[in-house]
Amino acid sequence: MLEVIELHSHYGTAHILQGLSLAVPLGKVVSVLGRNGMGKTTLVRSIMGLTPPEVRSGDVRYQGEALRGLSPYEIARRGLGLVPQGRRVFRSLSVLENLTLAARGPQGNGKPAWTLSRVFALFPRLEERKHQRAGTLSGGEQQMLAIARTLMTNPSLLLMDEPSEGLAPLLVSQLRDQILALKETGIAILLVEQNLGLAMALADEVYVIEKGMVVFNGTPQDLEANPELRQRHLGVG
Amino acid sequence: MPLTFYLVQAFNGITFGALLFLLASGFTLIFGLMRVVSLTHGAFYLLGGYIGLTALRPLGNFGLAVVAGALAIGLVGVLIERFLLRRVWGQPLAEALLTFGLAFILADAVLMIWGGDPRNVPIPRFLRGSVVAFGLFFPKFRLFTLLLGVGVALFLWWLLACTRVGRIIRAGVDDLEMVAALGINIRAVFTGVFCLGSMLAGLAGVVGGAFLSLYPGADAEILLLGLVVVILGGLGSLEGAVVGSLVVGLLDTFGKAFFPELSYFTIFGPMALVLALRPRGLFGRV
Ligand SMILES: Nc1ncnc2c1ncn2[C@@H]1O[C@H](COP(=O)(O)OP(=O)(O)OP(=O)(O)O)[C@@H](O)[C@H]1O
Ligand SMILES: [Mg+2]
Repeated sequence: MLEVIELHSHYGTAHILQGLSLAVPLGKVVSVLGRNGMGKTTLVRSIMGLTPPEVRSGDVRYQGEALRGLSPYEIARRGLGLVPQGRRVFRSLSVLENLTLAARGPQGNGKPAWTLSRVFALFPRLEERKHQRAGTLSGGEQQMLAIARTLMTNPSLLLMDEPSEGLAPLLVSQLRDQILALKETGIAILLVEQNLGLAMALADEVYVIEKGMVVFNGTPQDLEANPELRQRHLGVG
Repeated sequence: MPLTFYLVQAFNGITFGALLFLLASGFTLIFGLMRVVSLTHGAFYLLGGYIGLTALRPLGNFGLAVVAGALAIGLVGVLIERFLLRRVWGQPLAEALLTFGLAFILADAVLMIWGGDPRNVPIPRFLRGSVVAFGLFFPKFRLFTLLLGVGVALFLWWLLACTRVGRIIRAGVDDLEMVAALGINIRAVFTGVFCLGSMLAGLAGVVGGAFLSLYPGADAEILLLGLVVVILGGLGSLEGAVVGSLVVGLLDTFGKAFFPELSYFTIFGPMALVLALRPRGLFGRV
């Protein structure tokens, strides 16, 4: 289980995360919702040990171990896998090179390891394009590659930052099915989203954040039943 | 002027370009991954040359002296990367000041140890003299330098294109942070790349000590030419370093032959032109 405890993160003098706490239980999908600029990416970067921002107080714990102060590669090797906002595939590398670059074998978490053939079964598109340079893929294909690249490191928890950003509705529903398939493998997911529908369809638990603080925590059904809250913090009825 | 004149000058220019490539390839490799402009590279060249010169007597073999120069500078590079550069990494001004300051310190140390008189690394016997073809004389040592340059270029191409380390380096050029976030210890790769780049400078120094000569100030001259190479070719690009080296080698040679009094202009003029029309250089991406 991933625990974020009273986290305070800053960019220089800007105090962005203001005592944010949340938890992602083993094997669950937890969604973080919030409007632009509310600190979602800051949260993901703080968990992953990426700087900036600078974490000035609070803790991040994974399976009971403190992650704060470790470097990103050490955090990744403890089982966290980042699928960053904006995909950030290695543009000049081929699809295959992107996938094998950081591949790590089974991580001893008892689950069958992700291999090229398993990843291609989930994203057949990538197999068709495996020799193509990643920079020439479409946005949707790049998103699949960003997810697949991280799966190849065999993480036990995925941090996905707005995977649906910029995708056409048809691709978003395809992405939903793919993330559902991932969920069924028992991997835990922290899913940052602005697409309420996608988050509601996938999440076991939802956090809404505003200005670096949690303003709502509950099940998707609770959020569904509270249009006033959705209107105030997410701008959708 | 007769055609033979042009042929000889072209040969001289291309072989000088090969020497420049030995230096510039390491420089551009380091910049491509680490975004560090290593201004110590000229001093590495000179120090490597002197170390090769001194090692030649006990080792008794030019090839071993080249290896000694390269290994010694590789070690110096590792120490500098791990204990100094790492502390200021990501702050371009501090990096520039650090590498520039180190260049002065190394140059002074070299002057103290080896003195101010020009020294030559003796050319091994089997590389003395010339090969005669089409009635022209091609010095064997220049041919050797050309082969070495081609060999190093092929090796670096293989390293980047066909190995896992090369994949990591190319991915790091695209997005360093993501490489780290995927669980790769990028710092260890930095140390390796800085070591390799430094070794190439040391190797260039020993070869350059036989090709040109070693004297205080040779470090700054070769660094300047190396900078022009990578600015022309595009910082961080291996193809750019190949093309840039050839262009600068030829410009320098023909410039000195035709307009000896304008020898700086013939190099910096085209560089300024490229910078104005295409600031990232011929092959550069940034
Ligand atoms: N590198 C940075 N330096 C300074 N301020 C930053 C930096 N990155 C983000 N911020 C600021 O921090 C705040 C939170 O940004 P963050 O990227 O976490 O928002 P977000 O919730 O992910 O937004 P979006 O949905 O648009 O991705 C914003 O006000 C942003 O301007
Ligand atoms: Mg964001």
